[in-house]
This record gives sequence, structure tokens and C-alpha cells, in this order.
Amino acid sequence: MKYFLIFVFLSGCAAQARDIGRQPSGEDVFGAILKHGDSDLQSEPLCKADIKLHEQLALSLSVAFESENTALIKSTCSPSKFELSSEELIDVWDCSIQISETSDEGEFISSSIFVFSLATDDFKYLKGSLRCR
Amino acid sequence: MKKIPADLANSLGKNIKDYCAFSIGVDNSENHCAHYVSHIMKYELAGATCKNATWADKQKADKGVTIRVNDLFSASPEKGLLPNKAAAITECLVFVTLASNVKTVGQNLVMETHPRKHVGILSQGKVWNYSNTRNMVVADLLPIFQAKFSSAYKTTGTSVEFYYGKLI
Repeated sequence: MKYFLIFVFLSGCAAQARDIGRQPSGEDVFGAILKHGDSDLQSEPLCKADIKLHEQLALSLSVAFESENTALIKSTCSPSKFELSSEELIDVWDCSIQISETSDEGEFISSSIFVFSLATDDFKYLKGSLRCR
Repeated sequence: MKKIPADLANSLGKNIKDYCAFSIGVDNSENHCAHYVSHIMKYELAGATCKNATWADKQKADKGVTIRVNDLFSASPEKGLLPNKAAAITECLVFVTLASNVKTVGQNLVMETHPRKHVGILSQGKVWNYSNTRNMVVADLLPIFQAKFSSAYKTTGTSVEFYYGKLI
């Protein structure tokens, strides 16, 4: 009975892991967003702006250019859900790229965060999922 | 137009998690200036809010609030350079960003999306705002606030500008 329960528990864990699949690598994450650099941010409801994604990335990534400030980039992914325009709810990887600018004295200067969803099968960027702040 | 709550002073020294039940509320690495102002003033505009940051956040019952400085600037019914503020306006929003980050479109000022931007609430001569360095609410006398951000945001090729915005 004990072995049966252990088997059921392990099978359950494996099934859960299979549901969402392998986590995207850093290259997958940065590759996916850079590939959509030409996207118009007017089409992203939670990141609306009159510029393209690559222009916003350039603004955020260049904050410490030729200054004594430091820009730290952190990136991560976690399982989440995304509602397609058809109202179908799908499993996704929610990935975030955060750029934090601090002065040489450690004072907070600025931060930018890009959060977006990647499909679980091919790690494609899902349009309409971008959240910026 | 909403009024500044009478208990604004109670927010002094508080961390954003004291106001926000969502995942952003426990992340001290983010810029919480607009987030703090919106929780105090209960601003929930279209666009990014603390509630729609993640799917799990969206499932919670709590109301979300606006988290982007430029969204607050855009929604303010009247705004302009701070030195042009009428003396009669003693309570308003105060914005700071690079001059190059604000454009004039027709008769309207539009703040763009450069990361160097900040907002606070001007009340009784002080700017109530969220210190992302100290991770708490602070109240700076207006000249101190201006000196602090003029120094922090200074950038070659542009200047640091302060704007007022009437309450939304």
C-alpha cells in the first residue's frame, strides 16, 4: 500500500511537470522578445505607447549609458495562464526582464519591467501579453 | 476629482505592502511611486494595474490601482510646468522626469515612457512620495524634493523638469 501511494504521488508530480513542460532558457526568453522588437506597443493593452517594442527596450537598457550608475538586469519565468482573444485559457510561461538603475552610492534611480507570456510548446511570444512598468 | 484623504500623514514610513495585496506589493525592487499615489487616491485607470500584473493576481477579489506614472500624467485634467502652477492650487500631483520625456501634442502635454520619472502628492507644502531606495513613504518639502530629483535624474543632453497635475 505504501509503495502504491508513493507511486501515485510521484506519478502526480510527473504529470504536473509534464503539463507545463520544460522551462524556457534565458536564450529562449531574450530571443522571443527581441524577435518581436518591431511590434507596435499600441497593440499591447498593458504596455500602450506610441513607439515600438525595440525602442522601449533601447530606452530601458540604456539608462546607465556612459554614467557612473549601474543597470542590473534580472530575468525569470514562472508558470501562469493566459487568456487568448478567443477567451480560451491556456498554460504559459510568464517571463519577466527587469532593469534596475542605481547610483554609485546604491540609491534607486529607475526601474523598468517587461513581463510577457511564452507558449509552453515552442516558447513563442504571445501577442497581447506584454505588461510594462 | 478625488480629494486627498485627510489621513495622508498616516502613510508616512509605510511600505507598499501595507497598501497592496498583489504580488507587486511585496517586490521592493520595483518603482512604486505611481503605485503608492494610486492606492492613496484610489486611481484605477485603464491599462496596467497591480491587479493585472499576473494571472494569479487577477483572480483575487481586491481592487487594483494604476502603476504607471505616465498613465497618471495623461489622466490629469490640467497639467503644466511646476513654476507655472497657479498659487491657488495647493494640492495636486507633482511629476518629475527628463524634459525630453514630455512632448506637446496639440494643446496637451504627453509624458512618454523613459524610466526616469516619479510622482508624488503635493499637500501642505510637502510632496508625499514613495522612496524606492528606503522602501517607504516619505514627505519632502517641495524644494528638497526638487533638489533630490534634479540630482538623481541629471542626464547629459537634457534637463530635469517638474510638472504639476490637477487631481484626477
